Amino acid sequence: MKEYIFLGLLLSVLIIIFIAYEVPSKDDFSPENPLFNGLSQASMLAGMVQENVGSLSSAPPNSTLFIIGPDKSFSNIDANEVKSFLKAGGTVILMDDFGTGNSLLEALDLNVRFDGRLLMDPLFMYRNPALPIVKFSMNGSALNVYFNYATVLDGNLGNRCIGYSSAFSFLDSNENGVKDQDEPFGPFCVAASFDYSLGRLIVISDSSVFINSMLDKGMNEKLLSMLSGNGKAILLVGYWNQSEYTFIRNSLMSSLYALLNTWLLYPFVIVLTILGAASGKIAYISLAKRGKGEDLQNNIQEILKRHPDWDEEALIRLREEMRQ
Amino acid sequence: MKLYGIMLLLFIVFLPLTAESTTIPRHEDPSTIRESWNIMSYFSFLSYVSKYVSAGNYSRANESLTGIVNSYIPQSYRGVIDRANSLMNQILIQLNQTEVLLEQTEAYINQSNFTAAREDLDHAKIQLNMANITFLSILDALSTLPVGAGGASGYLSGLEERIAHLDSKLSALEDLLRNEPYIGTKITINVKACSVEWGGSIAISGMLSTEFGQPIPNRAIEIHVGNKVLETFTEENGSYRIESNVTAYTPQVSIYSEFIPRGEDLFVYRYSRSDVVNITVHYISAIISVDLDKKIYLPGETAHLFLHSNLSFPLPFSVISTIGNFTGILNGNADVALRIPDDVGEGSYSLTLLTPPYGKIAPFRWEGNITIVKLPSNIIIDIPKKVIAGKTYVINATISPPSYIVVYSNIGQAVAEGSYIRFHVPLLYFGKSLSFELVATPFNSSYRGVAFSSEIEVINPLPIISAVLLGGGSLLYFLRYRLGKIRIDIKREKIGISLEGKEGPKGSIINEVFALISKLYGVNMEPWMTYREYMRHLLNKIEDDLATFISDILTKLEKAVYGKKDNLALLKLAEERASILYGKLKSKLKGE
Repeated sequence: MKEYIFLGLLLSVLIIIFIAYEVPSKDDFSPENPLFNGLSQASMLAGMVQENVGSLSSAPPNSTLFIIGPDKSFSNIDANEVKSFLKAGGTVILMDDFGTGNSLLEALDLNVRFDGRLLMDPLFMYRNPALPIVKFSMNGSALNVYFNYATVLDGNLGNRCIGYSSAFSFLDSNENGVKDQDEPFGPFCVAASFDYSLGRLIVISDSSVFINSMLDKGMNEKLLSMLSGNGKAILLVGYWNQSEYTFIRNSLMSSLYALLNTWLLYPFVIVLTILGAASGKIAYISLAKRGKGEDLQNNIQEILKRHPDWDEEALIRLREEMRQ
Repeated sequence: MKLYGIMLLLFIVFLPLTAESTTIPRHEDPSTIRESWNIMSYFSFLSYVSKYVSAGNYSRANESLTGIVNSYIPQSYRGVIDRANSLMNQILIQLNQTEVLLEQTEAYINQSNFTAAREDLDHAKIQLNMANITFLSILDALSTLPVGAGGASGYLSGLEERIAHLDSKLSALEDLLRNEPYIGTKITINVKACSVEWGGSIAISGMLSTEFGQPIPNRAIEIHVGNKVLETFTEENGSYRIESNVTAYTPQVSIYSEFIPRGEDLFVYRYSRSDVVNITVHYISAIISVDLDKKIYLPGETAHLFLHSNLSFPLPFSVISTIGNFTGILNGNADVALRIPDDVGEGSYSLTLLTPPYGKIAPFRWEGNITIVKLPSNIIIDIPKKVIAGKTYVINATISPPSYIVVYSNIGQAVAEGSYIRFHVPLLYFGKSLSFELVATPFNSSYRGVAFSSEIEVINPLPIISAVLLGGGSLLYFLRYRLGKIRIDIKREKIGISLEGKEGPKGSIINEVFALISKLYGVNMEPWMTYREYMRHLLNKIEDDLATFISDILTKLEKAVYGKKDNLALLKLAEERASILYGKLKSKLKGE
C-alpha cells in the first residue's frame, strides 16, 4: 500500500510540473502570459527582467522600472525603495488606470493623480470608443498610441504633459458609453513626465498599452522601445492579484529554475537518482511479489498434500497478504 | 481500490489548479471586442467641418477633416466614407483657392490693377464651379449611407452656404469690373547717378500723367529704394522729385516708383508702375579671420580665439556660443579668452562672431565650431575570476584620476571604501555567477566617467559537499548490501547447499548426509523446507543421539552462513561433524 502512495505522489508531482511548464499563466500583465492580456511579448522585446521592490537598490542608475497596473497599494517602505531608485537616477514608468497607482504618487508627493473615470473617443479609436487613440510627444517624435479602457491624469501638469487625447474624447463618468451633457470633452492629459531628483517619473493613464494584443496597434511598440531606453529594463512584480494557478506555477518554475541554474543542481540530481532507484526497486519488489504470490497460489494444493493438517483458508489468506 | 485511491489523490491535487484569474477587468481583447461605431457620429463630425467652412475658417476645417480621415471607420463603410472624405478634402482646397483668388481680385481692384484683377476673377470662377460639382459628388457618395442624400445635405449646409456666399461675392466683383470707368495712368522715373558711396545721397525724379499725357498733380507716389519705401507728392505739372541716402549693404540697389490710387482716386485712375533702375553701392566689407588656439578643449580650460581684421580701426564685436558669450572691440587684432565651463559635456558647440553695421562698414558674421572632449579615465581592477560563497573579498581598484566610486552587484553587498571594494558572497547564494558593476565619476571634470562590469563565477561548497555526501552514502549503502549478498553466496557455495533448502552442488558432505537420512528414515530435504522444518519432520523418526548430532551440525551451518563474523572455523567444524555423522549413518545402513 505504501509503495502505491509513494508512486502516486511521484507521478502527481511529475504531472504538475509538466502542466505548470506547458500551461502558461492567464493573469493580467503576467510576463509569462502569452494570451491577449499578458506582457510576454513586451517583456521579451524590452528585455525586461522581473524584480521585486526589494531588489531595486542593486539596479544600475540608468535602469528603467516598469510598474504596470498595480492591484495592491504601495506601502511606505516600498514607496521609499522606488523613491531611492529615482534619486539614484533611474526612470520609473508608472502605468495604471483604475488600480492603486495613486498610492505611489501620494507617497512620492507629486501633484498628479489617476482620475479613474473611463476615457472614450468616438472618433479616434479602434473599433470601440473605449479603445481611444492618443498622441504622445516624446524626444521630438509624435506617436499615435492606442489605449484600452484608460483613464486620464488630473493635476496642474502644464508642460509636463507628454500625451493628450483628442478634442473629441470625453470622460464617460456614468459608463453608459455615450457623451452626456455633464461629461467633459477633451483633450485630456494622458501621460506626464516629472523630473525627480536625478531620475525621471513618467505616468501613463492606461496599464494596457503594452499587453500582447495592443503592442502591434499604432506606435505602441515604438513607445515601449523609447521608454525602455538603453539601460536595464525592470518589470516590477509582486503588485498584481495572482490566481492560485499562477502562484503555484511561479513557485514551481522559480524552484525548478533555481535548481537547474544554480549549484543546487548537483544535490538535486543525486536525490533524484536515489528517489528513482528507490521507486524502481519498489516497483520491482511489487511486481516480484505479485509473481511469487501466483506461484504460491499454484502450490497451495501441493502444500496441502504434504501438510494435510494445515488450514487451507489460512493459506489462502496468507497468499492474499503476500500479494499486497 | 488502490487505483481509485490514486485517482482521488490526483483529483484533490489538481482541483485548485484551474487556470482562472480573478483580477479586475481593465481591458478587452481588441480582436474580439464588439465594434461600436455610430454613423451619426460621423455625420456630426462632418457637420463640424461644414460649420468651420461656413465661418471661413479653413485651417480648423482642415484639421477636423484630417481627424475624420484618420479616425476609425468600419470595413463595411470604408469605401463610401473614404470617397466622401477625399471629396471633402477636394472641396476645401477649391473653396479656399476661390477665397484667395477673390481676395486678390479685390486687392488688385483696390490698386486699380484691373488686368490682374480680371485674371484672378476668371480663375476664381473656375474654382467655384468645380467646388459646386464636388459638392454634388459628395451628396451623391453619402446618399448610399443610411441617412440618405437629404439627411447628408442637412449636415453639410455650411458648405452650401459658403458656396452661395462666394458666388454672390464673385458676381459683385464681376459687376464692378464689367462697369470699369477708370482712366489709365503712366509713371516715369529718372535717377541721375549710376553708382553711389554708402550713405551718399541720390536724386530721384519722374512724372505722373494720364495715359493720354495729361499731368496728374498732388498725388502720392511711392518710391522703392532697395528695401526702403519713400513717399512724395507730384507737383502741379505732374513731376516729382526726392533725395534719399543709400544705406543698404548690398552691391546693387533697385529703384522704382508706383502710383496706387487712393481715396477719391480709387474709382477714377488705374494703378501704374515705373521701370526699374539699378545703381551700384560702394561700402566697406570687414574681413575677419578667426583662429582657435587648439582643435579640442577640455572642460574648465580657456579657449583663445585670435581675431584678425582687415580694417585698422576699432570695431565692436560679439562672440555668441552656448558655452559662453564675449563682447569686445576689435582693433586690428584681438585675443578673445573664452572659459569653458566645468560642467559642459563632450561635443561640438557652435561659435558665432558678429560685428554690427558700423557706418560704411558692413556687418560681419562668422560661424564655426568648438570641440570639447574629456580625457579618458584609467581603471585597473583586480577582479577575481572565481569566488567562493561564504567568503568576503576585497578588491583593489586603481582609478586615475581620483574618482567617486559606486558599486552595484546582484548580491547587493558590495561597498566601495576609497579605492577598495569590499563584497561578501553569502553562503546561501547558490547562483553560478554574480554580476558586478562599477561606476567611477572623476572629481576632475576634465575626465570622462568610467564604468566597468563583469560576471564573476561563484563556487558554493555547500551543495557540492552535500551532493558528494549523499552520492557517496548511497553508493556505500548499495555496495554494502551487494557485498553482503555476495559474501553469503560465497559461503553457500562453500557449504554446498542453499539455505532455502535447495540442493547445492552434488558431492558435498552435507548432501551425502541428507541422502543417507532419506534412505534410512524416509525424510527428504524438500525445496520449500527450512532447516527447522526439516528437523521437525525428522525428530519423531530418528534416534535422539543422532537428532542432537544433526541439530548441532545444522545450527553451526546456520551460524556460519548468517553469522556476521566469518565463521569459517565453524563451517569446518560442521563439516567434520557431518563426516562423523556420515560414517555413523553409513554403518547403520550396512546394519552394523
